[in-house]
Amino acid sequence: MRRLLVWVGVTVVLLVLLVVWQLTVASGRP
Amino acid sequence: MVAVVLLWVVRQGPLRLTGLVPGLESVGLLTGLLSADLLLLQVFLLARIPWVERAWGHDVLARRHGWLGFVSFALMVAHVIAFGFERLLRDDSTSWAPLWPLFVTASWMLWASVGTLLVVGVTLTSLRAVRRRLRYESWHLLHLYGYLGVGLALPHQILDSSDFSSDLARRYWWSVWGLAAAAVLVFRIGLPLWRSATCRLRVTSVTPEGAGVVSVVLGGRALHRLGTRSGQFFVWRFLDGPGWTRGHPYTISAAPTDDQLRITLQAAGDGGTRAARLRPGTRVLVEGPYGTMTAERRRHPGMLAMAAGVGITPLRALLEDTPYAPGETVLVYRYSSPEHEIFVTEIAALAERRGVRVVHLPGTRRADGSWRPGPTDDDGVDDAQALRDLVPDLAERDIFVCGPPDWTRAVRRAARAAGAGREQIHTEDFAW
Repeated sequence: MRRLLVWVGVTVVLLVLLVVWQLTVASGRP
Repeated sequence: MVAVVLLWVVRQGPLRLTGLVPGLESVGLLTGLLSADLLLLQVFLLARIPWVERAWGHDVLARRHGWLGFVSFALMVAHVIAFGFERLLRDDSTSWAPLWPLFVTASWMLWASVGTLLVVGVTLTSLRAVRRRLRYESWHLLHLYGYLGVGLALPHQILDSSDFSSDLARRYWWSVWGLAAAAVLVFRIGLPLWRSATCRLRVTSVTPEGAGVVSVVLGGRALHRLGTRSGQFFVWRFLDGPGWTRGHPYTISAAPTDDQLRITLQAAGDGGTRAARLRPGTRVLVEGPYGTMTAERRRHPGMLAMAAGVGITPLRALLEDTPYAPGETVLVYRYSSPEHEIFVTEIAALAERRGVRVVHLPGTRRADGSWRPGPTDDDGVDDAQALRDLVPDLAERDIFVCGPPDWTRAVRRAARAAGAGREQIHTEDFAW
């Protein structure tokens, strides 16, 4: 259970950071 | 596969192959599309879709999933390299600077890069040498990051790729990925929870069978709804405290009834020792039933069941409720010493009641990889001939084999050499 919670925690943190990055830094087409 | 290649053709992929830079871009697009397509197929293969499981069997699906994984990984690496070089050549750059916007700052590209790293991690930990060093549970949890990786790579495919600039293509891609996600949610999570809730399985009793093996009997209601057949297995989660999230695959060892299932397992390892200490009343979550080593595969009236060690469990269930006439079935049972024989009275009763000819083969494992018992290694008898001596008409029987993988392979080899067709031999690896 603890491992699963760590998994969920890592996933949520990663997603939040990526959303912030996409909204603030990321630009236009690659 | 056809759809994505078509997508590439429509986007004039083949025409661009003539020049170096557009060619690299074109190769990058095609490899990316194919890689994503194979990843999608991988998700579908192990989404536990009941009719897919029934058609191929879990062991075959798991092997194909693994094989597709490495092909899709190679294509993904090619996709990244092709676009990296395309960018460097297009910008005529002498430094690595153009790669920074490509892989990091461009829209959705950091998502794709993190997703790629996750898929790389999942693939590397699935290499046999690495996987062997990891606990199954750790490996499995790492493997779950594959879903995240695949999901993170999706926006750059749909929102930025020129391949999906048309509405139809975009709708198609979202739909197939939506279906894959739905299949995983429904069949890997929803259906098992629903089945567990409606069947209300609880541990009824735990009985030692000897030789470090225990049987766990589980009671429930309306178990016919599970559609379980002898020879199949479930993934079991016993709600007996911390660690319940780890599922363990165990085969049922008695013909299923409407209110009872029984599993028999070695009381060793993480799951086994835990199961041996289960208390009556413990609630159980089940995933399944899985497995295709059932009577449905039969094509002949006669059967030959070959079991080694705890591999007797599915065959014991199969012999109990499969239709056959007295004298039509032979059970060959290998175990290392008489103390390691389990179901002694049950097998004797089956032999008596259903007219099964039982051949006991106690003895140690042989160094030469033979299916026969040791200790003699070189007795000058051919493995296939020995099987034919034991069961002269084996070519007219369905052959069910269950035991350690090496032993199962040895039996399969011997049976093939003794004249049995590939479709007659039914085995299942526990490739979980």
